Amino acid sequence: MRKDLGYTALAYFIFRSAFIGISSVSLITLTQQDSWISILIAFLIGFIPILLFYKIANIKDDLNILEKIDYSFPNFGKYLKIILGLAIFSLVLLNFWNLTNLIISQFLSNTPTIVISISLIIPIIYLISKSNVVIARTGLILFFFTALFWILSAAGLLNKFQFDNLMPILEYNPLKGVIPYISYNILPIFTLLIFPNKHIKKSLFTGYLVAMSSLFIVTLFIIAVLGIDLATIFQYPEFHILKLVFEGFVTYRLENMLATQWIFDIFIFSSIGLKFCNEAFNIKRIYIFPIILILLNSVVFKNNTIANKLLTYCFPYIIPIFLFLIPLIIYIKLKRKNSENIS
Amino acid sequence: MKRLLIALTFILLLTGCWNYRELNDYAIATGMAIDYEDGEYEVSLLFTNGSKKEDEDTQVTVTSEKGKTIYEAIKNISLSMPKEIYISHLSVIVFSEDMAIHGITPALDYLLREPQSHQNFYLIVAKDTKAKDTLTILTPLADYPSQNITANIKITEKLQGRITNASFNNFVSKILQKGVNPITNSIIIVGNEEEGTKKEEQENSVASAYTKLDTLGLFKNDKLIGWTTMEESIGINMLLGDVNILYLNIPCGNNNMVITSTSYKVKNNIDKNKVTVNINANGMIKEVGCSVNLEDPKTIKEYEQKAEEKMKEYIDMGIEKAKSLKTDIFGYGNMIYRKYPNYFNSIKDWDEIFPNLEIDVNVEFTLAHKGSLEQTIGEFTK
Repeated sequence: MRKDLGYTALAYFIFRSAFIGISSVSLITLTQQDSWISILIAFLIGFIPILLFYKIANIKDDLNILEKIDYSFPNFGKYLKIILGLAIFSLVLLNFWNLTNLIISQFLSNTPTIVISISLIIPIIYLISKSNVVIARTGLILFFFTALFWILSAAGLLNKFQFDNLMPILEYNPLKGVIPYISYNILPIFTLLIFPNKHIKKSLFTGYLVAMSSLFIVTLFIIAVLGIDLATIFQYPEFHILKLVFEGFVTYRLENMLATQWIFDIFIFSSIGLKFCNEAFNIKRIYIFPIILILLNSVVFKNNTIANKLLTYCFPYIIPIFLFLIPLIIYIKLKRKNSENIS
Repeated sequence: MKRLLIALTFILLLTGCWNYRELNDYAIATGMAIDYEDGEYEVSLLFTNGSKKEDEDTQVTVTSEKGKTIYEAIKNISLSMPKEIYISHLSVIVFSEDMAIHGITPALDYLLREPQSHQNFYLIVAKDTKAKDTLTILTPLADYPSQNITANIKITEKLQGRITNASFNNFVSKILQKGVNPITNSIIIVGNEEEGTKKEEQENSVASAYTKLDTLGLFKNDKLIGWTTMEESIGINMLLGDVNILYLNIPCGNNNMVITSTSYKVKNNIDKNKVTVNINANGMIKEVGCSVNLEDPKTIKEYEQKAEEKMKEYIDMGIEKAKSLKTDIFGYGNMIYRKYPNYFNSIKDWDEIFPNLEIDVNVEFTLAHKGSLEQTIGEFTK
C-alpha cells in the first residue's frame, strides 16, 4: 500500500467529520440556499490554512507536530501542547456528542447514551493502540466503503435533483457561512500533523480536494433535492436525504447503510483526535481520554437547542484561535529556529 | 488476561443483542387514519400482522383511540395492544375532511419528528366519510386496505391526469415554501360500508363496497379550503405538469372521440405580474364513436384544435377554482420568488395578489398516432 493513500483517506475523513449535524446546520441556518456558494468561497480561502499546515509539514518532515513544538519551543512547548491537546479534545468531544446524538435521534432512541458511547469508544481505543500504518490502512479500507456509499447516494438521488430549488441565488450573504465551514471542516485537519509529516504532505491537498468536492456536492443535493425549507427543519438533513435514495426504484430503506459514511468520518476523526491528545499530554494509558470523553459526553450540552446556538454562533469563532493562530505562531518560530540551525 | 477482558467486553457490547426485539413483538402499522371531532384526534391504525387463528379471521386489524394529541391517541391504542406499535412501514395516511379543515400540522409535525416514521407515504383526504372507514374496506384485489389505496394512487397517477403526486415530502415542502400551497387527492367509499369490512368481501365477485379515488382537495397552508370537480382536477394537474397520460372526450358527431396524450411538457415563463404557460402535447386516438375521415389531414387538424380547446377549457376551470379560493396551488408565487426575490419579499400576502395574476396559457396538441386503425369503422363501411 502506498502510505500517502492511507493518510489521504484519513485527511478525507477529518475534513468531513464535523459536517453532518454541525457545519451543515450552521451553513443552512446562516446562508440558506446560498450554502453551496459559502462552501466555494470557504474552499478558496481554506487554501491559506492548508498551505500553512503544508509548510509546517515541510519543515523537519521526519518529526510530527508535537516533536516540532518541542524543537521550536524548548521552554514552554509542553504548555503549548497542553493547550492544543485541550482544543483538539474539545473538538473531539463536539464530534462525539454529535455522533451519539445522531445515533440516538435516528437509530437507537431507546438505548442509553452511555451504552452507545461505550460501543463506539471500544473500537476507537483499539485503533489508537495500533501503529500509524495500521491507522492509515484502516482509514483506506473505510474510505472504499464511504466512496461506494457516496456514489450510491448521489446516483440514487440524481433523478430528484431540482435546479429550481437552488434559486434565488445570493438572497442571503454567503460570507456568513464561510467562517463556520472553515472552522469545522478545514482547520481540524491540523490533527493530521500528529503523524510524521513526510507521509502527509501530499495527503493534505489530495484529501482537501476530494473531501471538499464531496461536501460541496452533498450540500447541493441537500438543497436541490429536499428544498431549503425542508432542509432547514431537519436536524440531520444529510440523513433524511438518504431516505430518498432509489426511492421506489431498485430498492429502498438504504439510509441506515448509507449513513455509515458519516459515522466513519466521526469515528476516524475521534480516533486521530484522541491519539493527538494522548501524545500531547504524553499519556501512556490510552484509555484515560476516552473515559473522560464518555463521561463528558453525557453532560457537555444540556440540550440540543443550546448546542445548536453554541455550534452556530460561538464555537466557529473560537476554533481558529487554536487551530490557525497557534499553528501560525508555531510555523513562524519553527522556520526561524530551523534557519538559525542551518546557518 | 487483559485481552480476555477486552474480548469479553466486545462479546457483551457488540453482539447486537442490546435492546433487541423479535418481529412478533411488533404490531406493524401500514395505514393511519386521523379523524377530528370535538377538539380531539381519533387515530386509527391498520395493523397487518395480527395473528390469524381461523380462516374466517381477517389478516388486518384496525384499532382506534382518541387523544388530545396524535401521540396521545397512538399511546392510547397501545393500551389495548399486546405488541409494540411500529409505524416505520406506514404507506398511507388518511385525514378526515374535518381534520383537514382544522389543519393537519400536528400530524405532520409528529410524522416528521418521530424517528420511526420513514416519511415515504401518501397523504389523502377522506371525502364524505370517516377517515377510519377507508382503512376497513376489504377488496379482492389487494390483501390490505392500505396496500389497496397506495397501489391505487400509484397506478392512477401513472395512467390518468386526475390524480396528483401527494407524497408526504411533496406536501410538506409545499406548506413550507413561499408562494405555493399544497393539494391532495381524496378518497370516497362507494357501496355498503358495513358489508365492505367483512372477510367474505375478498371472495365476492361483486364488491359490496370499495374505495375510489376522487377529486383534488385544495389547501391554504395546512388547511383544506375546497374541493375541485373532475374537470378542474385535470386542469390543475395539466398546469402542474403532473400528467402522464391524459384523456379527453372530444364531441364527434352525436358521439365522442377519445384522445389520450402520449407525451406532455409544460414550460412556464415567469414575469412579475404575468405567467405564460406553454403546453406541448402529443397524443393518439383511443376510440372513435362517430364516422369521420381520419385519412384526411384536415380532420386531424380539426381534432387537434378541438383537443387544444378542451385542454384550455379544463385549465381555465382549474385556474378559476384556485383564484376563487385565493390559493396558489400552482406555485407561481414560488417561481416569482425564485426569479424576483426582492419583489416577492416586498409583497405582504401573496394569496391576495394571486387572483389578479395574469396567467396566459398556450396549448399545442399534435395528434401523432391513430392506434391500430388508420380509418374509422363507420367511414370504412360507408
